[in-house]
Order: sequence, then C-alpha cells, then structure tokens
Amino acid sequence: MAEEGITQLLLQWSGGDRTALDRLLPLVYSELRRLAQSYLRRRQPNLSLEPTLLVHEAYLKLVNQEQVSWQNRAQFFGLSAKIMRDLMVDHARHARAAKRGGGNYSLSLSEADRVGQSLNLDLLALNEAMEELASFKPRHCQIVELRFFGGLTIEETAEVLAISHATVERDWNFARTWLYRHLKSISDSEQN
Amino acid sequence: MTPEQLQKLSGLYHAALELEPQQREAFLQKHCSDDDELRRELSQLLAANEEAGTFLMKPSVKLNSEIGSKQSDASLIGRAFGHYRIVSHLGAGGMGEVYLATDEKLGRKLALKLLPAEFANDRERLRRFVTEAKSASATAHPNIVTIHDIGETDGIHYIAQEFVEGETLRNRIEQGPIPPLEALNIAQQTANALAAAHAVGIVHRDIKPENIMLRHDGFVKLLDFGLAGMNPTEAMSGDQSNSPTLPKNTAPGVIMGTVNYMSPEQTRGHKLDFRSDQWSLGVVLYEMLVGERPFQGESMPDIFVAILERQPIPLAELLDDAPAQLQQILDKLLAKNREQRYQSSAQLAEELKRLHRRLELDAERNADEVSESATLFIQPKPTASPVTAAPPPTAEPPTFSTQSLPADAMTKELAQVTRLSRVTIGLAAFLIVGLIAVAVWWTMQSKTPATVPAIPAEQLPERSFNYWLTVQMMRDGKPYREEFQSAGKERYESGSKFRFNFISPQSGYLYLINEGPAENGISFWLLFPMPTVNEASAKIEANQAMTTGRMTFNENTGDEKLWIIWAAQAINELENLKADVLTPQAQGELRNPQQRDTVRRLLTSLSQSKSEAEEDRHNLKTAVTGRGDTLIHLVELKHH
Repeated sequence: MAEEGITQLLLQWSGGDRTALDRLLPLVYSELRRLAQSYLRRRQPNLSLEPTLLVHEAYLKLVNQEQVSWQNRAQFFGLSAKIMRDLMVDHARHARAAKRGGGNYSLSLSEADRVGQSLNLDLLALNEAMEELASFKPRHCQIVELRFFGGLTIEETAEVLAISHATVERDWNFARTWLYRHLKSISDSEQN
Repeated sequence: MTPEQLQKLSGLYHAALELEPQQREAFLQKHCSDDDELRRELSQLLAANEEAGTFLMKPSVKLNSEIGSKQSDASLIGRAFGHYRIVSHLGAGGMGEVYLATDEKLGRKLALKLLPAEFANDRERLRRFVTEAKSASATAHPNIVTIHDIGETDGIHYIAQEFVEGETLRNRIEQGPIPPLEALNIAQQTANALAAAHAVGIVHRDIKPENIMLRHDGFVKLLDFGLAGMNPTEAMSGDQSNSPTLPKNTAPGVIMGTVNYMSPEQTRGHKLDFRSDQWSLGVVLYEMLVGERPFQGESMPDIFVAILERQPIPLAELLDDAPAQLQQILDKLLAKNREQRYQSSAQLAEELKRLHRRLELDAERNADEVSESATLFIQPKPTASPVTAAPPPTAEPPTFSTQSLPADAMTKELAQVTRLSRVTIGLAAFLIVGLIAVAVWWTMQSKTPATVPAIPAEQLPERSFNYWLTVQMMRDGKPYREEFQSAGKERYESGSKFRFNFISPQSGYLYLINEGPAENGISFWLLFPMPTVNEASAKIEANQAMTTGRMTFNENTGDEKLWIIWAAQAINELENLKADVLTPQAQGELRNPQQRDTVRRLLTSLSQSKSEAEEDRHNLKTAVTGRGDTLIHLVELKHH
C-alpha cells in the first residue's frame, strides 16, 4: 500500500507532476526519521552512521524497484539527501547541547589514517560551512548534500540537477576543497 | 571576502588547477596582483586540494554517543536555556534528565527537564504534550506540579517547572512499608490532584511512585502530566498514547516496574480514561501499605496475567490492624472492570479523606487523653506512628453531618497530631470569632518598623491571601459532627479543635502571632512558624496551601487577637525569636519582656494603613488584599 503509493508518487513526480512531490516528501521524511531514530537510539559507543545506508534502507522499503528507473532512484535519493541532512544536523545539535563542546559527532575521514592526519570535525560545523558555501555557490552546496547525505553518484547527481558530469566533477572538487579548508581553519584556530 | 571575490574564486581555482604546480605562482601573481586577500585564499585553497584527499567522499558519521551519561550532565552545569541557567543535576527520569536551575528573570529556583531529542522531531506528540501539561498545570492545584514554561534552545526541548524539594514516593517505599495514616494522606493528596485533572478531562496515564513527589513538609506533588505516551520507545500496545513512560536503556526489571501499574484495560491496549488512573493509584496505595506490588510476575506476560486475572492478597493477611475500610477502598480501585471503580475521582478523594480523618482522630484519642489539660503549644504527638495505636476498625465512626468540604479543599492533613491547648486562644463556653479586619502596610525598605512608606500605596505591588479555619467540634473528648470549614465567623464551642489554613498567589513569609487577653498583662505566642510544620520555616511558596497543626480552644476567658503577617521578605524581628520560642519549654510563648516589647512595637507600627478583608459567599474562607511588601491582618476572637 504505502509501497505502491510512494512508487506511484515518484513516477508521477518524475513524469512532471510537481504536486506529487508535496505528497511524497512527508512519506519519505517519516520513514527516514523512523529509521534514523531507531538507529541512533542504539547508543553504542563509537557507532558509525552512514546516512546513505539509511536512505538505501528507506528506498528498499518504500519503493517498488521493478517499476522505477534509475532516474527515479536518483530523484528519490536526491530528496532524501535534504531530509537526511536536516535529521542528522538536528541530532547533532541535540548532542552538542547535551554535551557542551560537541565533538562527539565527528566526521570520520576514511583516509585520515593513511594520510596521517586526524581531522575531527563536527557535523554542525560542516552544516554551517555548507550554508556559507551556499551563500555564493548554491549549486555546489546542493552537490555536497546529494553526494554526502544522499550518497548519489556523479551520474545521479548530474541527472537530478540536470547538469553535465563534468560540471558536477568540477563543482564537487571545489566544494570539497573549500569546505575542507574552511573547517580546517576553524579547527586550527580552536586548537590554538 | 566580498561576494565578487568569492565569485572570482572558483573560476581562478579551476583555472589554476589546470596548470602545473610550478606555474601556479605566476598565475596568482598575474590575476591577484591587486587583491592580497583573494590571492591568499586561492593559494590556501590550492594547497588544500591535495590535503583534502577523499574528504566527504565516503560519507560516514562516527557517533560517539554519550548523551545522558554523567559526563554530559556535568558539562551542562552553567548552561542557559532561555533565561533558565542550570545549577546542578537532580536526577534522571524516564522522560529525560532533570536539572536544578535558576530563573534569571525572577530569581527563583526551578526544575528544568530536558526532553530527549526524539520528541523534538515528533511535532504531533510534542504538541499534545504541551497541551496536556499546560491544562494540568492550569488547574493550579496545589498537588499538581506547576509548569512555568515550555521552550526550546538549540533543538533541545525543555520544561521549566516548579522545583519540589523532597523525595519521590519510590524512594520512600524503598525504606519499607508506610503506616496506613501516612499512606492514606499521600493517596488522598494524589487523588485530589487526579480529581482536579480529571475534572478538566486530563488523564495522567502513568501514575507510579516515581511520579509522586513527597515534599519535606508533607505536601504531595504529582509530576509529569502529559508525558505518558510521549516516549517513542516501542509501545506495548498498538495505541502509543497508552504507553507509560518506559525508561530507555534500562535493565528489564525497571521496565517491569512500570508495567506493574498498568490497568487491565491498558494491558489490553484499550483507550484509557480517568478510572485507569484510579487503578494505578490503587496499585500505588497497596504498595505503600504492604511494601510489595499487588500484581507481580517474572516476565511481562506473567504480570499481565496477574493484572487481568488475580486478586491481590488481602491486607488483613499482611498487616496487623488493617482497617476494613481501607480494604474496601482498595477493592474498588482494583476492580478489574472499570465500571466498578469510583465514578468520579472527587468521590475517591473524599472517601480517602474521610477515612484518613477517622484514623487520625482515633489515633489522637487513643494516644493521649493524658495531656489534655496542659501543654500549650503545638507539638507533635508523642512517639512514632499514630496508626499503630489506632483502635480496631470496629469503632463506630462519629456521626457526620452531610456538610462536606469542597472537592478542591486544599487542606493538608498532617499526620502529626498537634495541639494548642490551654494557651492563648483559651476561651469560654462559646466563641465568636469576629473579624476586625484591619490590615496594614509596611514597606520593608527599612528594618525600622516605624518607617512610613514613601511610595504612594496605589503604586505598590498587590499582595493577597486567603485563610480559613477547619474546625472539629468535640464532645466528651470525642469528635462530634464532621470537621467543617469556616471563614471564621461562626460560633465555636469550647474544646473545639481547629487548624488554620492559608494560601496566597504570592510567595512570602507567614507569621501567626497570638496576643493573649490584655487583663493578664501583655502576652504573645508565636503560632507560626511551628516546629512540626514546613520544617519550622515561615517561607511559603506561591499557591502552596499551608495548614497548621491542630490547635484547641480551651476554656479560659478573655479577648484573643490573632495576627496574620504575610510578608515578601523574612521579618528579622520574628525570625530572631524562633530559637528561643520554638522550644519544648517555651512552646511558642514569648517569655522575655524585651521580646514582647519588640513584637508589640512591630505590630503597632504595622497597624497604619488598611487592607480589605472579605468572606466568600458561603462563609468558607476570607480573602485579604492590599498593597505593599507586608500585609498584616488581625483576626479578633471574642467570646462570652
């Protein structure tokens, strides 16, 4: 029922029916929130959360994959990305308030060990930096949202934003570098 | 950087990246020669390109979640939520951590409860919670914890509520069974709270000892209206609104503890109503008396079976001298079919109160016919629990008239029986309590009582209070007719026992001074603060109903004056007396002439401006209002 509903709405939406989005968003939102909460409630120490896993889980649950194209999938992930960002930032905000000084929700840099750097940045700082980036490069910020919080590939991102692969690559590079530098300068100034 | 600089930045960045590293310096020179800031930014960005590696490529957020741990509590000390600043950690509830905080606007202490983040996202539940909590609080019932404010800071939702200094009933029960008189007192106050909430259509849904606070002065405060069903933990039943607050991440035993208070209809997932609260209160009452819960089991299904099918062990098998009426009340509360429970909670409260009063009077009669004559001051009954001395329930109850107290009667029935006997208010055969209602204002800006207020009276803040007497007539040392409430204008028989009751919308300091008959030379007794009530403190919170211990009109003749002083600040002259006067020897009497002189001058200086006193329509209480920091009211007791 819900499965069909969401699949249908997704198809209608990609078929050009913009009103379908209004009905789609709350459904996806509530499912993602439910998943995120049940995940976060486990409260194990050093738990690692990949937002995109939740999006996948929601997608598998909500959408009948036989009926939809990969473009539909991209659209679903695209709209989930924004929701995931909101959910996680909300959660991090609470965590920071509960434990002043924050830092307990940190981005783990998968390459950090190899490169020998330890850069612990919290999610709220990332969110703020993204907002700043959006003030002069809104599309760059959107790309980060889709890639990082939605887990979209370059191709999918290009599809959702209706731009070329090359542009996504280029903007993604700038956005990552800009955010990295921005966060690192904050983290350096805090250490000093 | 300016928007123009930022726009330029990405174009230059990409162009520079196309170049070999050794060519970049020249590139920067060429394009940023007149803009050092842009140049610095760009070169740092180019350097960061390498360093960034796979930053953000593999989205993963590491959660090192320690929310709610001791560590995180400590870090909240000093933190502000709105204008509330956290002072210390009070404890953890099923519904989040509770902190002691100060209200920086009003300078008062309060309890700040931080709701778990899950609620923040569930707008519908949050909305429902706010509605219910506010409605319960709006009853302004003295047995319901007042909610001052509900708000949000940095995504954290908090509740600012009245700070209750005391312990939870859970704490108390853990120290062993509670004597029937005291248990009844607690149950009765809780029932009063429920009656008020049920009257406005609010069901608590989660009555359990953890939610019942016992204040040090014996006052009971019911917590957490509206929170039941707020917990997102997987509900036991389909209807989450029925789910009690199950603590998360706790040992199974703790969760079991909550299940024990569920009503049969709750275990079945049916819709709850006020009678479900009655059941839970029945479980709590039983547990108070016996020290064990009536329905137990090793697993949740076992407990459910017990709730649905078993009858609890009768009190008589577990307690000596268990009053039969107590068993009857329990039977009714724990009726499996809710149709058979009390059809109104006011009725339940009334029944608990009646039994409490009977046990109290029985205990009093039994324990000392002895010192009837002499001891003047309000002092606690000798030794332990009055109830162990209670006569068997076969004793005939006194004949009660049909007059009853209003359901919202805020009287607090003290377990301790106190008496004011010969004393001060000693009177002849009949008493007329006349109100020569003159009250007087006095600013506290100077400690010199004679200071006349410099500010025009109408600009001073308003102050007000209500008072009333609860009177028990006595015949041949036995209660005669039912205790009744009075604004103070009736005639009372000598030998009657009474309590003085007081409540005010403001907080402040209450002093009651009895001035004895003038013909014997001036004499004063400090009647309040009293050693057995309110921890001998004059401090009374806003809307806190205060009831003195029981006092007796004796048969001496003479005019008596009862001064009521209601002050925004403690009055040093009177506070200084406490050490000398609130002793078993002095029993409230001011025996030192200098002390009497101080008080006489204080009273005289206060008697300068007027306030208004008015009895309510039914002569049940008297309201006194006026302006200023200190309100004084004289009740003149005349008799013939």
